[in-house]
Amino acid sequence: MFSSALIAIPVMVVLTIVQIVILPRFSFFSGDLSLPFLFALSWSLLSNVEEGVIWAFIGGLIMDIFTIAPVGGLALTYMGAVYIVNIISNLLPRNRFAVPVISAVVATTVQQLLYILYLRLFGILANTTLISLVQTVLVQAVLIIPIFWSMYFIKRSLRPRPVQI
Amino acid sequence: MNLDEAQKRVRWITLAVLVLIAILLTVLDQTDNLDAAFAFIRDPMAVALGWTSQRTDVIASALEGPRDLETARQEIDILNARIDDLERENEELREIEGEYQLLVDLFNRARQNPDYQRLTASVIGQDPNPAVRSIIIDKGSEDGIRVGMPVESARGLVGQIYRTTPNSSQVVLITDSSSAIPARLGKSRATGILRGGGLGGVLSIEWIDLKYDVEIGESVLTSGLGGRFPQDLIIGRVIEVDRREAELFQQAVVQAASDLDSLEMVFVITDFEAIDTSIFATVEP
Repeated sequence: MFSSALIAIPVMVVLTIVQIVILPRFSFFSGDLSLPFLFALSWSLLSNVEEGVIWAFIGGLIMDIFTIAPVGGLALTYMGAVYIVNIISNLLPRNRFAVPVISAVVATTVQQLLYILYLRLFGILANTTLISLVQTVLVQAVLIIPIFWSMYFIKRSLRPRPVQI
Repeated sequence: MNLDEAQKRVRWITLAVLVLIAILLTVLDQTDNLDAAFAFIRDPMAVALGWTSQRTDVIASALEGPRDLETARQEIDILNARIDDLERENEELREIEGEYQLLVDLFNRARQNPDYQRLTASVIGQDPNPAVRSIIIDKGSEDGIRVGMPVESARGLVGQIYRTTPNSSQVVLITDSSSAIPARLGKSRATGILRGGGLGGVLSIEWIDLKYDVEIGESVLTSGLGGRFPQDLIIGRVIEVDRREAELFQQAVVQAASDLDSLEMVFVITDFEAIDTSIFATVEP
C-alpha cells in the first residue's frame, strides 16, 4: 500500500503539471477535466479502496497547492468521492466497460457537490453552474475509459494476477 | 481478529488519518501558517511549470505548422522540401509578428498611463480547480510583486495578485465569483461593484442606483474607490442592463475587454497613485 503511495507522488506531480500547463491550451478540456482525480479513481477500481484513497489524497493535495481555494479541500473531496464510489461499485455488475463510466459519473458528481459544500463552509461561492457540472461529468465519463484501460494494462504488467496452483 | 477485520481496521485508520491531515492542512492554511511551507514546494514546481509551458509552446507551434502545410498540399500536388521550409519559416515569422503585435499593444497600454509602474509577466498556467478562476504568472516576490497588486493585459484589467512565491504569483481573475471591484461606467458615470460570475457565469456590476440611465455599449472602468486599483483602468463594456423599477438598484452585465481564457502576457501594476482618501481620516478634536 505504501509503495503505491510512493509511486503516486511523482505521477500526481506530472499529472498536475499537465493539468495546469497543457490542458488549458485545449478549450475542450479547459476547466472540465481533472486528470489526478480520474487516475486516482481508476486506480481505486483496479486496486483497492485504501490505495485509491491514498492516490486521491496525494492528487488532491498537489492540486490544492496551485489553487486559490483553501488547501485540503480537493484532497478531502477526492477521497470522499473515491471512497463512496468504491462502496457503490461493489453493488454494480462486474463489467469492466460500464463500471469505470458509471463510477466517473457518480464520483465526479459527488466530488463537485462535496466541494461546493466545502467552499460554502468558508463563505466562498463556487464557480460551478449546473451546465458546467454536467459538462464536467460528461467529459470525465468519456475520458476515464482510456485512462482506466491504460492503467489496467500497466497494472497487469506490473502486478500479474496471482494464480492458485 | 480475523484477516477481514484487520483489513477493515487498516482501511478505517488510513481514511481517518488522511481526513485528519486534510482538515489540519485546511485549518493551517486558513490561519496563514502554511504559506512558507507551501512556497517551498510551489517555487520549484513553478520552475517546472515554466519549463513545460515553453516546451508546450514549441510543440503547439510545431503542430500548427503541418496543418497549414496540409492545406498547401491540397492546392499544389508537387510540394517539395523547399516549400516545406518556406512554409515553416513563414509560420515562425507569423508567430514573431504575433508576439511583436502583443508587445506593441502592451507598450501602447503602458504609454497611456506612464505614471504607473508596471512589470511584464508571462502566464505559465491556469488554476487546476474548475471551481475557482485564477492564473499563474512567472514573476514573484523577488521581482517586487506583492499581494493585492492589480494585473492588466494590453486590453484591460485582468485581476489582482492573490498569492506570491519568490518566482511566481497567482492572479485571481475578475471573473472569479470572489472578485469584487469598485467600478464606474464611462458615460452615465454610475458607480457599482463589479462581480465575477465564475465559470460560464457573467461579469456584472451590482448596486447601480436607479437614477442612472445605463446604456448598452457603455465602457466600464475602475472607479479607484478603496485605493486597491488605479482609477480609469478599462474593464469591459456593458452588454445587458437589468433594470426593474420595483427594486432599489439595477445591475449591468459586462463583457470583459480581455479574453481571460487565452492570456499570454500581462502587466502587474506595481505602483500607482491611489485616490486620496485622507479626507475620511478621523480628525483629532
